[in-house]
Amino acid sequence: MISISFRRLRLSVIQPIFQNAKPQAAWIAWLAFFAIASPNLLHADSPLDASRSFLKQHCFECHGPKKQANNLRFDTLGNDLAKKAEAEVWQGILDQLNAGTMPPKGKPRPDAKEAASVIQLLTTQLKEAYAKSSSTGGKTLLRRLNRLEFRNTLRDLLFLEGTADFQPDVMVKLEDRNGDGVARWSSNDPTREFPADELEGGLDTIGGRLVMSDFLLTKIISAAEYSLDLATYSGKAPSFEPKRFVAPISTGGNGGWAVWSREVDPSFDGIYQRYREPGAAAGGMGCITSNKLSTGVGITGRYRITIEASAHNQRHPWGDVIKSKQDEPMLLGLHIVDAPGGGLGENHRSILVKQWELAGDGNKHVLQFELTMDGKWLPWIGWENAPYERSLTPSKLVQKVLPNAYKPPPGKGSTEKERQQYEPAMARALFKAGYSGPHLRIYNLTVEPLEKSWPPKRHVALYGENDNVPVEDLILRFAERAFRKSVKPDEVARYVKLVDAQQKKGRSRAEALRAGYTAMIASPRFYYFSEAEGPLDGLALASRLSYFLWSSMPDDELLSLAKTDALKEPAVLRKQIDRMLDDPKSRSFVRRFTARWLHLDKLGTMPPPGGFYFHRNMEAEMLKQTDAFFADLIKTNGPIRNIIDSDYTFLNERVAHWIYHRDDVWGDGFRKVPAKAPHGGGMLTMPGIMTATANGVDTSPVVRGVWVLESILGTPPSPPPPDVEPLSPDLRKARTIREQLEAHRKQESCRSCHQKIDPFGFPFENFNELGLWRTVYKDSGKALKIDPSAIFADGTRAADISELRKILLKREDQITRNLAERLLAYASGRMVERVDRGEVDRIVSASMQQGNGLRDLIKLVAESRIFRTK
Amino acid sequence: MRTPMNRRTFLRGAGVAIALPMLEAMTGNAGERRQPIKRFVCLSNNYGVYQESFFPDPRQVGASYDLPETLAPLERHRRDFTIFSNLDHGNTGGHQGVPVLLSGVRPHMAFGFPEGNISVDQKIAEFEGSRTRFPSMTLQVNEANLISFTRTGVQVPSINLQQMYRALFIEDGQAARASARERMARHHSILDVVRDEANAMNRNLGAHDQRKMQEYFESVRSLERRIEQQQPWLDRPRPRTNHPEPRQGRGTAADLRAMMELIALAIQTDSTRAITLASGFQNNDFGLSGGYHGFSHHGQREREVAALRLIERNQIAQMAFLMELLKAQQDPISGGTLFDHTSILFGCGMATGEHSTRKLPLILAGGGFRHGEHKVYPEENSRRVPAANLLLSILRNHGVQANRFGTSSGTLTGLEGGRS
Repeated sequence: MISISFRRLRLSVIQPIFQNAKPQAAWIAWLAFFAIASPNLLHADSPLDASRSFLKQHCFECHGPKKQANNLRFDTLGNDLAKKAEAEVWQGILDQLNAGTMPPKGKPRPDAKEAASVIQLLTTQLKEAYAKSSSTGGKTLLRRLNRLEFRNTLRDLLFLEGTADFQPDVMVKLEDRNGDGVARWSSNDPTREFPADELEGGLDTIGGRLVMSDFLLTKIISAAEYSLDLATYSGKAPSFEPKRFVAPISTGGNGGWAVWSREVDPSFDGIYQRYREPGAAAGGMGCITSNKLSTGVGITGRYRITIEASAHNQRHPWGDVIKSKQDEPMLLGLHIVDAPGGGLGENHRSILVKQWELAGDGNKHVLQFELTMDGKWLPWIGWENAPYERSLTPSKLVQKVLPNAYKPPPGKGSTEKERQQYEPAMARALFKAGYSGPHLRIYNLTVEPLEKSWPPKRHVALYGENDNVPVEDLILRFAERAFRKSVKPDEVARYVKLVDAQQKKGRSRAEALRAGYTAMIASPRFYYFSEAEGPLDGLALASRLSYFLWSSMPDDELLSLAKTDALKEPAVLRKQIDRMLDDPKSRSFVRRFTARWLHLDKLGTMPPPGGFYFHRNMEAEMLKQTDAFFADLIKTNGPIRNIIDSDYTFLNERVAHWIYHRDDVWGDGFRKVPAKAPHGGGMLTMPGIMTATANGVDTSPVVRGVWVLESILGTPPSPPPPDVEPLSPDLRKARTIREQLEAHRKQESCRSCHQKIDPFGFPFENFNELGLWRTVYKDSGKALKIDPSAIFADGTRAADISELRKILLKREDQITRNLAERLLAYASGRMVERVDRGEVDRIVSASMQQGNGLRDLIKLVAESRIFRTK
Repeated sequence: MRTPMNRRTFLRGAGVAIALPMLEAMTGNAGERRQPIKRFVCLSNNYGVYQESFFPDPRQVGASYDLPETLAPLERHRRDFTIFSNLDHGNTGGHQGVPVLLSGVRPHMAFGFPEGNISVDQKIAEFEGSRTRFPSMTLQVNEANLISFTRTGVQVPSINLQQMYRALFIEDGQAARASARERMARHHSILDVVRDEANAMNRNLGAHDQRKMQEYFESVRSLERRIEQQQPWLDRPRPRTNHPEPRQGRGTAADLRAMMELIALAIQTDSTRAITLASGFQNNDFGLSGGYHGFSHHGQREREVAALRLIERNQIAQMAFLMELLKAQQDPISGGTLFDHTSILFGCGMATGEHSTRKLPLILAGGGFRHGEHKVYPEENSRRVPAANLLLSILRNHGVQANRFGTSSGTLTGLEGGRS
């Protein structure tokens, strides 16, 4: 039994009833007979009848005996709301009245008061009907872990936190990194070869939809074995002494400035420029780290990084030669990068983990940061908002500031050597005189492991402190966490037997244990959610909650609360939700949910050709931007309407410069900045969404219109009729897409749907397939002006994207409802059905009353009956 | 234009020793098999074709049609292939049509079909079972292969030139084989245990959930079967060859040609009997500047159309090359040439880069069918013939006893088997 969103079901259910001519004729004949013979049999008395005169006056013309637009007919509509088909038609009528899309533009509008009372009537009747039928539908079907959930669970189960490619928001996929159409792997993620999860409503957490196959099972077993290997160690303990590096930390090959600075004063490593040019060519300059860390910090685990640094000359008089942000504190950034990846500045796998603001007053500061990191990675330091190398030509600086030391560059007739030594000589003059331009000084760097036990904790968890620890104990301990519940020894006897059998076959104790653990991970008790029908008990609730907010297994604190059922108390539940939302593991929720809900997972499927998208790593940056915005809404309980429009946005330098054409944001980290025209705020026009709703080559108002209807408003249009040919633009005549879509307006059969779709897409035409703002289409050499205006089905107009935002903001409760339903489906593992309407209504009105904050909505979802019931 | 293939050149270059299983079949069991061994190869791209240069004039039905420009490389093989007009799978969806090519069933509708959206190559793989080392080979050259699906809806991952060569010819060392044997045994034990666990868990599930649990049981069963099938192949030696390992990334044409050679070798060594290939285009190749996807949105612009025609003609030229390679090889078991017993299907589930999925480009060659014609099927909506009928015909020709496949309504009328 597969639950399908009823809206999509509506037309497909109705068509068979009305389309088949013969039975209909007979049916109508009987209907007529009964209508004449006993008027009351057709419609047994029902409160719904009070709406029939309204329907007759405003709807029957197109949905009655003479005509049945969209195959919908209301004069013969029954009023038994217990019948699914009938309820759906009534629900459809209500939806159209609420949205104001019916009667359509051009037809006389019904009296507002009358319409309101009909809406009220239908609303209450349907609510009742749904509540009554709550026992029939709405069950989550046996649900397996999806790929991300499995990978995260492996991370937590085997204590692999910090291992690269297990990071909460990184989901490795086949990547076409250079646009040649060939996708290659670039990671060690154990789930990298997993098949894509089956989607329903765009979500990959719907139990009834997810499928188990032999192929997947093979991959699960391989992934388990691979991950167990990662957690297994052998050999002698490495040194746990802190590694302390005193200037000079970076030796050699680090660009001229570092070398020249060291000559004059070797007590610090100076950073004078950005580690990467704006063209994103690989840098290597301005990156401070030690060669001795070139193979990584050692063992995966927790580390404390300590840096002693000072910042100088934030304000300086050299502003017209050195382009730096004088009114912003200088930002020192700590990054980690994988050792084999090389290329410090532009390695795609480099991650900024911490930024510090330093006042440029020259005072020494000791900066510390603790993190869990992969042993094969290493830390490096950079200056986030430094000037670029190209504005730092020593000779130009000398000319301005030390005119006496200035010599003009060697001209014609000079030797190669003279030319090569010119800038270094100028630079030395600068330093000798005391460089007073902006720079950072790094005095020392310490890397200290905080986990000093050997073998590491993750190894001991699998094999015990020594070989004498009984296998049964290890298996039992593992099972309690793996199966997310209390476990009795007889429940795991089969695994102990497996381990014993393996040992008898000659496998070592460790190998045999690994076979046992693999079997547990591949078993349905691990891979499926254990939920009994009805209200969830504490343990089932804990699982659902942690997979909702962390896409991973519950931690010890959650599990212990669950075992005593304390988790079911509202105050305890709320506190846990807060704790979980504040935990970095919730980055999985932010990334995963937005990707599924907003279809950002389409990014990369049809990438824009050429270097821009790949060389500048735009896809990753786009996702970081949407993450930052959404995560901030959660953190501050920001109002959901900010998703549509806000006076702020999140930018880092790369996205600001290349997409927004703004130069007021510096550095790699995303931060909250004021929104500016023409991009504005909110999420709708962010480059991630604009790229995901285009095909890499051009844009389509239809695609984006459908996206708004589906993802934002929750009213997806019906699919196009099967025999409609797709748009084949004839670009030789250089017609705009608006002109080509005129065809939709001219045809009756196309118009009814497209007048609801296209207007939501046209205002986005000012954003090209990467989200860049444009006012003309450039094609075939001609520049055609873009007309972003739209006329909606009910006659409203929007001149451009700003007005579209205002129109959408008026539908805040519809948008909230859609978001609530997505969250409910995502969290509960099943689609929301009409039987849930009452509960959804309650959630939405509660949220609207509280100011519609996102964090509050998440809590309402987690406390709802839908979430807490199987 | 290329010079005709020298049969001796190819044989000498390849220097393949016949695979052991085939020898056994020759001496022992050949008589038991009632039908000759058949193979299936699907050559595809992901963007369709420029129709104006691909399809013959719709009025020219039958054998004497003018060969359109893109098909010119097949001139020499006129009597050995058939081109179909007006066949498609009856759906819309642009790029979403691409994975539908070999079944007619869209992935998200698969649950409504008894065999899901299994593709014809995978159906053949199931039929052949463990008779060959590889039940099927899913290949890619400069493109993603999106057309092979198992009956559980899994899109079969594809391998490239290098991986294919290694799979065909490179022997695993002793240690690798021992570890593979041990792994299979271990997995077998693991599967026993989890099946046991699943039985225990199943007893406490409601009816709906028990039905879902069936997927798990079926997966375990299927995996066990697969292990059993693979085990005997662990110890059988692979065929040896003088054919050098192909280098990759040498350009669109060179890579595709190298892949054709490997396909021919795979068939000759009976390493597999079901192959699909998706080929693409290396950016800026052929003296063009741009990428395949960009060209496919041609909008009738001259530059893009010319690029597409170049790319497609190359694909057809390499198809002709494959046909030559197979025609040059005798089939020691079934008589005739390898070509006589290999069905080669060229096609794409998206008809053109403009996202149409009507009138799919489909060419069938070899396999023992009666060829040489341009077959035009009805254009009107009410009389359209499902392309899946062609797939069913191919299946039946292969020896699979099936009465329907995917969205078929029967076998393809007008397509007959010739000699078998």
